[in-house]
Amino acid sequence: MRRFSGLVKYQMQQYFSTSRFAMPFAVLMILLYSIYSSRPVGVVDSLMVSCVFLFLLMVWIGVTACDMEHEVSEQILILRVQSAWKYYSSHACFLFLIGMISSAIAILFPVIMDLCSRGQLFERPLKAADLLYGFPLMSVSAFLGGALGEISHPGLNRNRKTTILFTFLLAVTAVTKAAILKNVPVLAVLLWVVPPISDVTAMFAGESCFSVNKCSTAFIILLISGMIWTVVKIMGLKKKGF
Amino acid sequence: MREIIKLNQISKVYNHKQILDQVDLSIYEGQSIAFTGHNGSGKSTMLKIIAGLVRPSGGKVVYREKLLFHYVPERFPKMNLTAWQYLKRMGEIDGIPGKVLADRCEKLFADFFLTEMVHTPMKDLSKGTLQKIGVIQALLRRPQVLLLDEPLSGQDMDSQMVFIQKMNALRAEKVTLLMSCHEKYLVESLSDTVMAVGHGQVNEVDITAGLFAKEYILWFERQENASWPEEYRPYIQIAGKGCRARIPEHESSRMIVEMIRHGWKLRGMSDAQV
Repeated sequence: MRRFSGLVKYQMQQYFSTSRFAMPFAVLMILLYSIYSSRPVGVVDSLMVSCVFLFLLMVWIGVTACDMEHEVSEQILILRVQSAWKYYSSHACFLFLIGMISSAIAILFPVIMDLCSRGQLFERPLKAADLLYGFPLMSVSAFLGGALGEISHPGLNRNRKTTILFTFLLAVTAVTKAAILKNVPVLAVLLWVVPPISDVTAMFAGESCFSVNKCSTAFIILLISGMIWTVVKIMGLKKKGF
Repeated sequence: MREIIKLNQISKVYNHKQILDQVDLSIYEGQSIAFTGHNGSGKSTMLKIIAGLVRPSGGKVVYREKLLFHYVPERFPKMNLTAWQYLKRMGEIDGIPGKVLADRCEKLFADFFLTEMVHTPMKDLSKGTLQKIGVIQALLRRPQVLLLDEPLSGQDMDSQMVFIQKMNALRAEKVTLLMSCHEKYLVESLSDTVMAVGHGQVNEVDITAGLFAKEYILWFERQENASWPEEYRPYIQIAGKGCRARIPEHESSRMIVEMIRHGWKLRGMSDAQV
């Protein structure tokens, strides 16, 4: 456990010693401002839009975190902890923590905006339950985005340009999947592999409140999808080696 | 000696080129193997296959137990962290308590003449300095197998001497050393086995002739403004106000001439014991 936490701390320190978080953070703030600048907004709608934004943001962060990876330092660490699984899992955990930080910002932003506008930001009063449901959903959306971004790891495909394009194509397709399938239903045969962020946000369309059942279902779907993408990445890297 | 790693019919193909072709090799605990060969012959690939970092195209590596490998790469990566921050994290991952880690790092920094650079971001350090950090991170905790890929590239002579001392100390503790290098004196200082890598084959080289060739011990006294002839520095040990060198017979006359040219006085000469 100590080794694992040491790995995660190392990766956090590495990441924050660069300025890679600056642009995504700035973009996050702009996106959040764009969601909450007009009022009133629906509570569920706005939080679900935040989930989508966090998903895309974390794809970006996942890609830039992979850029930061150096083959030699990976090799040193994998040998040190005697397990490639442990190393790559710690990387997924590090991205999950970044996702949680981003989600915390995304959940606090509307609270602060609502306070500044004296409770007039939303169509109805913001409740603690909204935050309790919204934060985990945002966190797993972010986790899923990070997991998708991770498939751009240079160890899986040396052609960086193609890999990044493919990753972002997948991300955009994931977000617009519902709309694509409405027009071209036959693509469901292919698009089932794409992260289900669109399916999950569609579950809450038109809802004024979060319900336990829907939130639990959405949470589990997003979590399992994120874990599958993470496992796919790790297995791919283990198979390829250096 | 206890066999710890066995390579069975290992082959490796890169871009349609056969780098290794059905190589068999047994590695024993405490053994010190130097892999020599031309650039691109497959020395680094051998090390990585042994460590399990690179998958062979054919064959299998068998480990008798789960081994702790540490790795000193040929080129240590630049990063925004300082040396101290990096080594602190490596020490945490190794499970070394904070105070012990701090003391150990302080000693290693001093041994490798790095004390003034530990708080400089590694991206601003020279290649040689980075290489020293690469060595230090591998020495924080004793591994069972230490992989060294051209470990002395870019390092100053004094650091090379320190490195050799440290490696020999690890050998005394039964750490298995696997090294790829070009330097003859490094091979002679550290290795009991030399494997030549080339044309897909890995063959043991008989170094006993070199090991048991006649050697002399030379003593020199420092004169004013004396300096070191760089090519003989690895053979020299400082002894008080002078120094002592152990040199093969065929090099001894040239070394005496060079040392005198560099401001030293020959004070004694004797046959070295094997």
